[in-house]
Amino acid sequence: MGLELWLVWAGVSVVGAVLALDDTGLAQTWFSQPLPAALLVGLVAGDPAAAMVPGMCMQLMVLGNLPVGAATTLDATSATVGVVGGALVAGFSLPTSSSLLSVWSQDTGAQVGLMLVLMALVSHGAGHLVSLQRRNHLVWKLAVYREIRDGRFAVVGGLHRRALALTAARGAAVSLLVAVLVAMAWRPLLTALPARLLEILALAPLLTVPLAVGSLSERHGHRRAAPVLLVTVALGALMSWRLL
Amino acid sequence: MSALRPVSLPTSVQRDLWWRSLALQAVWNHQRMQNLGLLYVLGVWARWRGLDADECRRLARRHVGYFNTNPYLAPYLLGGLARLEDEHREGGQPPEALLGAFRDSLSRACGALGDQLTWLGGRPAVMLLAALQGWWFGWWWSLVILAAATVVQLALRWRAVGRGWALGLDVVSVFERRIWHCAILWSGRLGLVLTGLLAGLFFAGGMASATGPGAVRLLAVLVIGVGVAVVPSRRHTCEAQFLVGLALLAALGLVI
Repeated sequence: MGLELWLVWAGVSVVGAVLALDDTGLAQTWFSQPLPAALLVGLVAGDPAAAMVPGMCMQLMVLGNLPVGAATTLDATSATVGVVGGALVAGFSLPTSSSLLSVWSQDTGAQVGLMLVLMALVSHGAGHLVSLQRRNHLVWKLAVYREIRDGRFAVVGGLHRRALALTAARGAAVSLLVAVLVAMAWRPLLTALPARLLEILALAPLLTVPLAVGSLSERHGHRRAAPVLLVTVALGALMSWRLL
Repeated sequence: MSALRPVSLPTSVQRDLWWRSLALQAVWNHQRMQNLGLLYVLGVWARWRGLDADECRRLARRHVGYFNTNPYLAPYLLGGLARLEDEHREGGQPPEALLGAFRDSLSRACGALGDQLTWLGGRPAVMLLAALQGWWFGWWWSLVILAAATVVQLALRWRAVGRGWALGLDVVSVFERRIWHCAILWSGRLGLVLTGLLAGLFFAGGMASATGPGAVRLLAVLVIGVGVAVVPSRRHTCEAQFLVGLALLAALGLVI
């Protein structure tokens, strides 16, 4: 394994750690959303233009997720960093341009579709780790509860530093592990999958767009959202003749 | 009350309050959610004013209970609460019960407004804008849009800490303004408009390229994609909806 590849793995770990912090623990700047996460890991792996397409599809997929209160915990950030990073290392690239329309071709669509399935599964799996970490916060808190109630604020600061360090370590570890596994399995998986399944996978990127429309309409209320969406879909279709 | 006795907040203290407010959810827990984050922020004020052990104990016991709010609007509350604690320490006013009532009622208001403004309106709108910019002008434009949005929101959070401190109890009046509801309405509409535009561009452009999956499959994708998001009465995660949708497409693919 060359030095360049080691640097890519190190970069994937750093991006995974920083974005895991940004996801909930620190700042929440939205750079941990799938689209920018894919772009950043694409920069590390050397092809941000190719990374943008799966990032955009993943972004559309999770558009309706609301991280309020004790909502179901997911980890789309580490999933995106790991899967896109691994696929890029394994040689994923776009044939001609970085346009989102490239997913309409069978080959690119199937590869992006496979990434989306992996990202959805990893997001759920890694979400359990986040949940576990939050339960651990409770254990930590209870262990020093008396000191907290006695106003020893240094303990609270220490808890924060520990929690942030653990979050960064979790993000780095999950992203790196997923990226290495995907890089190793990517080509064998694509050649082993039957043609029928690849045809279905090629539909997956297309599925994310109506899913985004449906979930936003559901969140805003169909009566209010449907007219806006119908008009703007028609407008977008008209624009496509002029722009694309 | 607060306006009668202005106290300036040193920049270094405002910086520390702001910085720690960014980590409000770092030790989020299922039992009391952001309570440790609140204590972490108030620790800045305690250190600045040099509270003794007894005062620290009373402060911690007042705020160790349940606390949860929206992290983007929380700086108003945190600045205001630090100010009220300051006034309470100086002259015993406002009374202790009011401090808790202020924290609880404002956390609900910030939560309700902030969740709609950021999660339902602002975030989808910014991400879709970044996606469209990246699609049309190149990937770096997505990062430019996100960097600009980040600078704006961090600056607003910095300002909110100062406003909260300056207004104290009167910070409640900030949330009475109509602008919040207008911002929620228009950011939500912007998100819907951009989603519709992207969907129209994507499907019209893809169908024109004639490399797609065929009319019947495309119709199935559209119906299933919207259906899995709209039909279930219980809200599932979008990832789960996607996987269910794909499984339905696979099942349908066997018969089409």
